[in-house]
Amino acid sequence: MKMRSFRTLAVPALALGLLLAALVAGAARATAPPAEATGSSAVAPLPSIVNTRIVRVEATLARMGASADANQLSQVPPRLSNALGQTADAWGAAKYVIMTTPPTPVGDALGDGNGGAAGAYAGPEDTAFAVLSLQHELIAATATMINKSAARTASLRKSWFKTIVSAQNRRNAAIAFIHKRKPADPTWATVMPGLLPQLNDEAKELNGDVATTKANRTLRKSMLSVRKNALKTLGLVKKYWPPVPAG
Amino acid sequence: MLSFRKIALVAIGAALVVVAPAVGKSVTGSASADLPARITGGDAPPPIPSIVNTRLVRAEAALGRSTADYDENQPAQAVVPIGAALSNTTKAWGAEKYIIKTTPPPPAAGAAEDGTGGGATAYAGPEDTGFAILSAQHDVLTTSVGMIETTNAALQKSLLSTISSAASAMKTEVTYIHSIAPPPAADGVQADGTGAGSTWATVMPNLVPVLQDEIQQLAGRQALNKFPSAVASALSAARLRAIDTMNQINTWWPPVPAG
Repeated sequence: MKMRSFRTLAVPALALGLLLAALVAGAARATAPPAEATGSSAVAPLPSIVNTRIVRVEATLARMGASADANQLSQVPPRLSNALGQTADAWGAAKYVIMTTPPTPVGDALGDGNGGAAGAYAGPEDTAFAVLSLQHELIAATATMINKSAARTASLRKSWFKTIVSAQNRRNAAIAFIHKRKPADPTWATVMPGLLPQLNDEAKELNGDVATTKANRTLRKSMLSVRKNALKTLGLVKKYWPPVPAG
Repeated sequence: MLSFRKIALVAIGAALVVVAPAVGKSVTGSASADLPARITGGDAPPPIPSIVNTRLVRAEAALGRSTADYDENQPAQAVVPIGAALSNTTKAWGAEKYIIKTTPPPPAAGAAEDGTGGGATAYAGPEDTGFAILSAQHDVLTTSVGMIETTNAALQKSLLSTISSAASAMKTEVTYIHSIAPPPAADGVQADGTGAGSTWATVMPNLVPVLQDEIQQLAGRQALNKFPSAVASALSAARLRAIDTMNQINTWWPPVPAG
């Protein structure tokens, strides 16, 4: 009986959660954007030119996960391709923001990329960081798809690794662009080390995948190769923006 | 048994995590993180009145369906939801006018500085509700601009019409608000004696960065993409209208000098 009651609870709980979220989100619109420079823990929203892309990539990744969970694997490659394209467009828009917006004053951008407090919208540094995080999200979501049985389908296997390698290459290009264009801007030095935990997380996920999927030699080789790419990027970020020594 | 207990709890958490960013503005944090802290009590803002909120929730859901259809390579199916999003924001504004006309001004002691209505009201006042609608129209416009590169003629026509309508609606609404709002006073107390709480004079300047964001997106898309002349001229017209609206707000509700 008790078991049944919790089963029945799950659905109303989900509905309640959705309702609460809708109410909270609806109410949240009342006072956006955050304009307070002090005394507020507000997170600045991203500029729409980038934000619309990020929202769409995340929705596409959610649909991709849903189709994989529903065992409709043929729908995965086109969705990955779409997410990859949108991520590239998001970076193109972020480059436009970097090139046309004055830098955020030092101290206003946050190391975690959560937006500066000075402006109503996130500055170029946090906007770029959000796109770099999106690339990580895309890689991580794609890596989650990798499994031994699905890897027998060549189109799926190609789609996974094409997505991961392209996202990694584009992220490297973005890092190089930021470093080349803004070498002396101190705000980047506070934001970019925020990539290190993401890259560690990525390498860890790929390591875990290698260990748990019992992959054959070819699959294992591909997985180790993308893991190596993540570690190379980690080294690059450490070299360009060395972490500040503690104390 | 335990698993279903967990599912119930996880379901609530997951729903909050999934829905809030989709409906909220920023993807880098929770929607509620966008809110300024209240002067007293908790950080939770009062909800938007249901007569408006139901429309806004439906508009956001329609926007989600529209982009999903577009990204799933079914652009023809995106036409109806984008129209629904615009229509819901239009109806939300109709409801807001009703709220403006029927809501008495809050007592001076119950007003809170952040415009959330203070302790006197459980729901957001007309000013914050109006701002929520203007923000939703901004979302409709920016989402439409994000899909404007479509080669589907029907969708492109619908998007151009949506962009133009949303920009016009925002301008009309700002003009209407100016016509009913008491003039801002230098000491932060409105002429109607409602105190330094949620007033049009404190809420409306927040629309300036929203319009700047819109202008940046419209200019950026034209700089990054080569559009057919009809699309380019429509985007330019929308950008000029946004600039016009922004200038109007700066004139009617001038920013308070720093310090």
